[in-house]
Amino acid sequence: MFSIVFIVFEQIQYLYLLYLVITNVTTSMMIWVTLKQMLWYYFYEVDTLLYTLYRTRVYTPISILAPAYNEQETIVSSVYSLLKLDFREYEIIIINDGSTDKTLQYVIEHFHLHSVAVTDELPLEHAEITAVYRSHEYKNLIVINKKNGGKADALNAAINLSSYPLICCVDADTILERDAILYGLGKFIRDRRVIAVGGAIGITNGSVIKNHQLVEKKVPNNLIEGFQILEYLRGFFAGRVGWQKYNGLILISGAFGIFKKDIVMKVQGYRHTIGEDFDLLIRMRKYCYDNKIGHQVNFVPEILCWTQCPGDYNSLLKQRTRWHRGLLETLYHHKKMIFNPKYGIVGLLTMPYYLFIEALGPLITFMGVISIVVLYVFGLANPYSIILFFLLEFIWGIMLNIFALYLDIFTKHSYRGYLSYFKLLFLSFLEPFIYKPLLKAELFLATFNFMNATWGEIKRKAL
Amino acid sequence: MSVSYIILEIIWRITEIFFILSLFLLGFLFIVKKILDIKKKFIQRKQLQYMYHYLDKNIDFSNDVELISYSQVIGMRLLSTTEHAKREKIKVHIKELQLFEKLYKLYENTYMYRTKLYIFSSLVLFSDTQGRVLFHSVINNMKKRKEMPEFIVLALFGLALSTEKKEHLVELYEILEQIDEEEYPTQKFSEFFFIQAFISLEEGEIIHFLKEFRPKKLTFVSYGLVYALQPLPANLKIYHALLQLHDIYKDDSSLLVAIIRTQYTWKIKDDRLILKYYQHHHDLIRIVCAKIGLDIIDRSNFHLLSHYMCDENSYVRKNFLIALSEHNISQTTIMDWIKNTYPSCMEDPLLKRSLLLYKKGVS
Repeated sequence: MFSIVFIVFEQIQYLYLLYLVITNVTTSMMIWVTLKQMLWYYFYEVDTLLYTLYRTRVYTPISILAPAYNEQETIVSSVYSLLKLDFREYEIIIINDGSTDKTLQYVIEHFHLHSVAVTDELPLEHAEITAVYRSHEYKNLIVINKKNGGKADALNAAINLSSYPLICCVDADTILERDAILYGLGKFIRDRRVIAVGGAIGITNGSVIKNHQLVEKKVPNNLIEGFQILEYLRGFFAGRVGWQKYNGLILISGAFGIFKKDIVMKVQGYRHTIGEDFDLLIRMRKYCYDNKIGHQVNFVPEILCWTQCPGDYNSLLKQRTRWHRGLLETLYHHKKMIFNPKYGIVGLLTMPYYLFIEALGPLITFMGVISIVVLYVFGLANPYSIILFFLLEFIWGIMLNIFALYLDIFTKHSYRGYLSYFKLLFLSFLEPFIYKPLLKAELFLATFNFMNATWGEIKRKAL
Repeated sequence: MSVSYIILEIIWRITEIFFILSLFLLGFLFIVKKILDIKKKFIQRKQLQYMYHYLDKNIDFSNDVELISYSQVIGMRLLSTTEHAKREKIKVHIKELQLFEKLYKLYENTYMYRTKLYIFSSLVLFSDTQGRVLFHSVINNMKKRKEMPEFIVLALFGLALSTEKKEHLVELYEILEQIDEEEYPTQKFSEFFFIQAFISLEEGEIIHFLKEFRPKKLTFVSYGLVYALQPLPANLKIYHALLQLHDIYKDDSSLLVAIIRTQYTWKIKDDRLILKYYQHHHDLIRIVCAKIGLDIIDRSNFHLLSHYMCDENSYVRKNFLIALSEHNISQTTIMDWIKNTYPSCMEDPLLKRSLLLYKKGVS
């Protein structure tokens, strides 16, 4: 009996090690692809043509949509930063999604808003709009006040009222780089098949903000925030850029994404789900595949947008649980696409990757670690396995962190000063031992929460 | 030997290879970064020096990096200078220094793809007849090899900047048409190159081109061409050439929209197009007419557009209401127009909705 149990544990252990190798090799390959892409990008795209493009009248107007729920602390600053963008023709639509604080009041007072009529032609469904405001001073600013319905609902309301063919969805607490829209738009102009463009996200925690602009980009002293900076860097370098290269990108961060409005309308806008941004892009791509529309999803490897990350473990774990549930729910909703050749690289590669590496990763890790510990306790562990576990889970992780960090230094230099990078280097060594295990444990629990919730009721949270 | 042992062995080997490669790569990157940093600093320093003496007649280049740095500086100057006399002065200076020839030689002798592209990006900024031959050959070769399109984009840019006569425009159009079928650029993409081409093209050449412009099928490139005319100063002759073009491609709604928008940009008061098409079945045409019609037709004909108050398309109604409010037209006037011109519209529930929206302010 016991020998069967031990054989099972042994097999799980190998499965886990295999999983680690696949994850690490994929990440390393992605970093390699990114390196090539980034070098290309930095030595070519950011010069003559962009400069000339900016000087000409060649642009497509864009609507920037920012849903806000209880954002009284940051909303005025965010609107000011959006008003200062370096772009010729754009409108800003702020959606107050039934905030219970003074978000709306602050915006009305600061920007001298007046009420205007609400149009009755609203093709996408959402909670009731109670008022629409405009400003005499800032002609391109529109503020929608609506009953609470969540982020997806708020964005649908804004899409209904938007006037331009491209929509840019941002979080209300983000600060966009002044030329963010210009960078994103370049991708749409070069290729008419592009349906969505995302950009790298930077973290503002620890940085200095003056006059609604980020003046000094620094790495914070807080460990949790520092780990997240590292995680974001690795995520963008080892994921998005690489997937984009093979047109396999299915995730554009909710903090900054530009979409073609006609395709968004065709898929009935955002679906009311936890991972609404992930879900939207998958449905857009599904629509294109189903209707045989050649399409591309692009990514600008430049930090276009800065946002605040959670500063304490409770908030972080809550955020990650929500993301993980969103991931699982969306994959479950689109399960027919997985391994379906009709959906090209998305069905055959990206979605299976997200399923096995991202969604089931915490579960495999948990089982793997348990099996290694059990085998070790009973003196049955293969020393090779222990060494491999250590190398793959920790040392390789450290190496990948260093690579991501190095890529940033090599190309973008997102943060100022040597101190910032020394801090990140130090955190690179700690991350696999402290941050990763904690997150994986939480995501493991979230996996089961999702299972409970699917057959029960998922409690929707406000923005 | 058990399967598990083999799996373990494979995992071990992969891990080993990765670590060796990683260490090698980190070292390699470190060296490349150092070299690039030194080069970059040198170029920046040189560019700063040249910035204030870019027309210096005694300028001399002791190495290739100096030549490239100077080319970038003077190239950008040429690109950003709009004053004709100043541009000519810069062009003469470039010719005297034989900059194109020197850069071309360097380009020919360079084998690193990226360096070649970097030099090429300077070459396109001061192209002449010799340059056009090079750009054509680059486009043809690249298309054959199906390589990265950056060279093609730059070559197109060079061709556009060096457009001096109608034939050049025809060439540019034809290449863009070919690329349109293979690379899927947008209409804006073509528009961008035509805008560059029109900068140094004389009015007569453009009119001549438009009069002979009769493609079998209109595409994004054709519409981009019309939109690219908009930044030019208002020109009645070109406008009439566009009307002739419209007469030939009457059924093409995108061309019609492009011409109406160009007319609006040039502020040409002419009722012909709007009055002929304001009730067109195509939504986009009605939207454009509603949005800009009041700006380009005679005031005495404003009442004809009041039909848009009851249009079935909400974007037509919305755009018309915005246009009405920009022209400060009172609700009484609107009602009079409808009563006298479209009495049947008076009972339309859409009219009531539009009026209510107009009263409260359009969102």
